[in-house]
Amino acid sequence: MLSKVKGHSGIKRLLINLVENERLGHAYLFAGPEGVGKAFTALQFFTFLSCPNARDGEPCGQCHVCQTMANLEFPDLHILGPGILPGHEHQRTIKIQEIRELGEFINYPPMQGPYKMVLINDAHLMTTEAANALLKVLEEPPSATLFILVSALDGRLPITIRSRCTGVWFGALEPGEIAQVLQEQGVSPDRAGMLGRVAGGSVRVALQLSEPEAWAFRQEALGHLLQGIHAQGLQRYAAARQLIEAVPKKWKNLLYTLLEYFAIDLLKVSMDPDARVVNEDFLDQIRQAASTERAVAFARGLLDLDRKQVYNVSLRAAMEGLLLGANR
Amino acid sequence: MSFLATARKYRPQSFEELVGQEHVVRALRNAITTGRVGHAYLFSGTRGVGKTTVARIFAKALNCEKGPTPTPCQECASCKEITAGNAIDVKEIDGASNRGIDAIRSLRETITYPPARDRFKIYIIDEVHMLTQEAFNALLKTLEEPPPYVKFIFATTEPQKVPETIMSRVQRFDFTRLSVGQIVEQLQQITRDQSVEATDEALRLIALQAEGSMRDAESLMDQVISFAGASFTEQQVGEVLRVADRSYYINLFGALLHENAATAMRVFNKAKGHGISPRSFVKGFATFLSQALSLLLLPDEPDSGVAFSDVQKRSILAKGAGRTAQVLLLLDIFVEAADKAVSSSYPDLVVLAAVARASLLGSLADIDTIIHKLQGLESRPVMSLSDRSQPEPVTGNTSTTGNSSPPTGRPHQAQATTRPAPDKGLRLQQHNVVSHIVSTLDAQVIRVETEGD
Repeated sequence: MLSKVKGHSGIKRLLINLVENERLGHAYLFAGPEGVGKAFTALQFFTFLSCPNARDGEPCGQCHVCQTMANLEFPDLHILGPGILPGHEHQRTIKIQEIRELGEFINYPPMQGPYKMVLINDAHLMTTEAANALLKVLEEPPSATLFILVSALDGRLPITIRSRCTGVWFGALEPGEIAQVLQEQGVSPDRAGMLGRVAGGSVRVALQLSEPEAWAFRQEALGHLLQGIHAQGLQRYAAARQLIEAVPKKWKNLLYTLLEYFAIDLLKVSMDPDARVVNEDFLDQIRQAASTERAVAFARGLLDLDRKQVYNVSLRAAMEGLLLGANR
Repeated sequence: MSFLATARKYRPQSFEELVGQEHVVRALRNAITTGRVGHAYLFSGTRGVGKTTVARIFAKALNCEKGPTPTPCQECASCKEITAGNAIDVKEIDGASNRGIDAIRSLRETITYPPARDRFKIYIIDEVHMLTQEAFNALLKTLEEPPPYVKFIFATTEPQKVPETIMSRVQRFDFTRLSVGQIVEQLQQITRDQSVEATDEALRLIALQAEGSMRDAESLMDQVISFAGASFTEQQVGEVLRVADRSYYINLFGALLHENAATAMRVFNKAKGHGISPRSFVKGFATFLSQALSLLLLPDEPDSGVAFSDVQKRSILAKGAGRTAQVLLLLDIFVEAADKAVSSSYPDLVVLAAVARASLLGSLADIDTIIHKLQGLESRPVMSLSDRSQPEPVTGNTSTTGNSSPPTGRPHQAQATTRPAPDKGLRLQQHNVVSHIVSTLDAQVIRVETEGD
């Protein structure tokens, strides 16, 4: 079933069952952590639905439909949001104009396949106006329309949108599943296995870490974090500064992921020294650093940063605050 | 596509089929029978409780060939067209997509023409709160004195965003959330109709998850049926909807109250392993705690334990005995966490941090005795202080308490002395002390100010 999607076997079974039992609805919300394959699963499912030769839950992969789907050029497919179509990488919001254009798209019956399909990636980026403009069509679209909304921050979607969709929750991937994906991308088995374990269940993070520059940054960043959390007085500022200087601009997002995993590891180890951690290669140092008070303070500092919209806070102030807070 | 979502397929077509909202239905029916139908209505209420549905039925009732009647025939051209959504004289407008002043201007142009065939020209404007300020203002005059053949029905989930000037020109009806009983009844009807077999508890669990919205309940049931097939139980509902059943929460509750952080964390990990999202897990636990707290405070009140079976009740009472203050703190922590988890980028971290914080409270397990001691220490100086403050008001230096901020210290203590009734006063104070301790823990969080880069 949808064999290109790794893991998520329960979800794949659910989707295929929906089709086979003729119970496919018209709006689904794929929610779950970043980089676990939500949008990819949606696209594979769309391909399966449209492919005229699909059998046993698999699209054929050969026909014209499968190929145009793979190139994202299929006429019955409409994609909104960043991260999938080229040129949309830095899209920060999904605007009402795009939703209006979407209305035009679905008003015509499908041209090649059985469905008009809409994928809204990072649906939480819809502005309030856009989300409200989607409500009516999301509830009662023309027949043969299928919406899949994808979001890692589905809590930020208005309840009126969530209430109109059937929710599908994607969990983190297993290390082995991530390793499989990496191997298919040409990473050696040993390295793929190791990256799979330190990626915290996210293929995207694993792929980032497979680049040598990112990996070096990870090692350095974790080192500074551990050092900073132990340090006293002015040394904390020094650790924070070194940490910031180590961040390549390209990997700013990765820093926040690393901070999250580090905070989770601290918390886990502080509660149970034998807990399974993400940064297993730093386990001993994490054990030394982890007191519950320190871990809680670090975690709350990070959550506070998140609430204040990390991207608008000066990185340096953020890191100093974090390390200082954890150190009181 | 042969399958139509249940919420659409079973959208009520007459007042009789409608579940709940009796107060609205009665008022509308009476308005029709007594010939006192207003020219503008606003329906407000949470999602999925029947606003749009009632608007359509009301339109039917007004325009039915045999009407106006509270029981539209469903057979005449007008009724059929409204059901199909293409009636010529009933315009359903999406206020969120057509929100500008131009949309309202063109609407006003069409208003000047009388209905093509039916009795009234009816404008249903859904999501009306999204109209712009200018659009609302452009509507004011028309809304106050429309031609006699025009009726407006507005529907919105956010009435507070509709300007006062509009509000005063419409009759407003607030739609209420549906009760679990009402939802279960409707679900039963649907299951019978679709020859689906479901246990009563299963439907109850679905209804609970829907939080008063019929549409939510119906789409949740779609989800369950599509996964579990034409017969399902409570356990399967839990599995499909990915909601934690009570056993997780009782284990977590016990672990946190008895300082077993490792166990607490394992409960969370296990729930995640079963595909339960951190957000739904922490929200469920906060609800559980509030129910457990009311059970602990009022164990004999029949209402306070309705959420639990007898076995569960005994287990909760045994685990929480004498630890009410601690449960209160847990509730504080997890309500905050549930709230944070909604919008946070790191829901896992939110839950783990809450669990860790909660496990720190273990060291306060002896809180009751601490408080008794505090009480003993406090009572004497407080007495003398309040004695003194009567003749010479505030100026007295309160060196006895050794507190750096006497003005805030005093009201507390005065409160305690003026209220000798031990129970309520003590509990209040207990909460004060305890939340002080918690905020000391919180003080470790550094506030990061924005700084130009």
